[in-house]
Amino acid sequence: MRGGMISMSKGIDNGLLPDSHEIYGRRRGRNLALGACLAGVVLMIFAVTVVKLAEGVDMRGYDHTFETVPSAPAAGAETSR
Amino acid sequence: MTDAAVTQTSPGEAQFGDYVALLKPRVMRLVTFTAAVGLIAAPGFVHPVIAVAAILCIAVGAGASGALNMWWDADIDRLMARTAGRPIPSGRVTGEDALAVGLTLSALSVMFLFLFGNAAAAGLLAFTIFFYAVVYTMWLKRATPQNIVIGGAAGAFPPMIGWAVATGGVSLESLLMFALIFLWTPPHFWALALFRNDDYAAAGVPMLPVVAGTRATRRQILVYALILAPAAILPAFTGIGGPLYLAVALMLNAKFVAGAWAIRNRDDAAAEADGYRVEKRFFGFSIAYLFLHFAVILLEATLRALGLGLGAWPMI
Repeated sequence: MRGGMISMSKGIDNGLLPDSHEIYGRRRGRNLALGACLAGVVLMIFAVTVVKLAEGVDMRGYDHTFETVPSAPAAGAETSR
Repeated sequence: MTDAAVTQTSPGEAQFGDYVALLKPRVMRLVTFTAAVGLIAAPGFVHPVIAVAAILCIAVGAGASGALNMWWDADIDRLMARTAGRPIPSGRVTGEDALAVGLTLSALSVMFLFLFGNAAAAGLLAFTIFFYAVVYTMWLKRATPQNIVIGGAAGAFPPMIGWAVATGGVSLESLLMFALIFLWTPPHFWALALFRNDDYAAAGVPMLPVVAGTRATRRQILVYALILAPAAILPAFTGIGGPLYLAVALMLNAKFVAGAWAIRNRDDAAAEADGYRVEKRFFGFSIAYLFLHFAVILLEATLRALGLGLGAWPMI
């Protein structure tokens, strides 16, 4: 444990902290571009959702499409009485 | 993991642009354009937001199949001057990363197209990816000189997918757009193969000039140009065409057949003497040929939307 702390302090001295090493600088552009892509996907899904809801598209899942209740009387049963 | 393992990276570490290059952006541009034309020319209204999202899905799906193609073909890409600078042969991206990118984007693009559009469009996109990555790249490309003829179908699907986004199905018009790209692909690539013959021969890819010789290839370019011409003119008499399309298609196909005829009447000695000038010009024109056909379909759709279409135009 003690040895580990010493090693860490040496790392600080050598500029090897995760946020200071030059590798993060090199990867910065790549990470920013990937972040922009992910933000774009989120925005696209949001925009499509808004449009679909505005158009009144049925967005319910397949298990909510048919609201049949097993114990309920069949459709048209009351009118036939 | 040691500190050294974390901090040591190769000088050619992949940047975002390398992953973009995996998706073959130039092919994606053509796919995006033809898919957009298919969608816009189709009857019915698609909300612009849905249209943009769907076209993006088609483009990403096409790009994903390009990444899978690069992963599989990395060994022969190293041997060809045209492809040696691609991300995998140049060592900037590993094959495993390319495979992961290809599979992930394939799945996401099909799933999102199903959610944004419909099952028909998503199914066509899934089939297109499968056709390009498996049927063309893995089965045909190294096995038969007909690789381009059959594999050309993969590049011909995007306008059909765009059409399916708008209509939920397939029709004569979308099949004719498919036929236009499908029949255009062999003469386009064989013209390239004529002046890139050494590349394909070095990689052992059985392109037609490598297997059957340049004489047969020149003849086949003319044969396909003659088959392509009626297929390219026929859309003029459907719901996506009109007088403007007919005029442009007649002009473009006359020039295309004339170019193919000029290639047919040359031999390798004449071609080498002028640095394959006729073949290179034909290859360049073939790109403009396809672009202009789809551009005029788009123009006809715009005229119809503005109420400027010709009512009495004969249609099949």
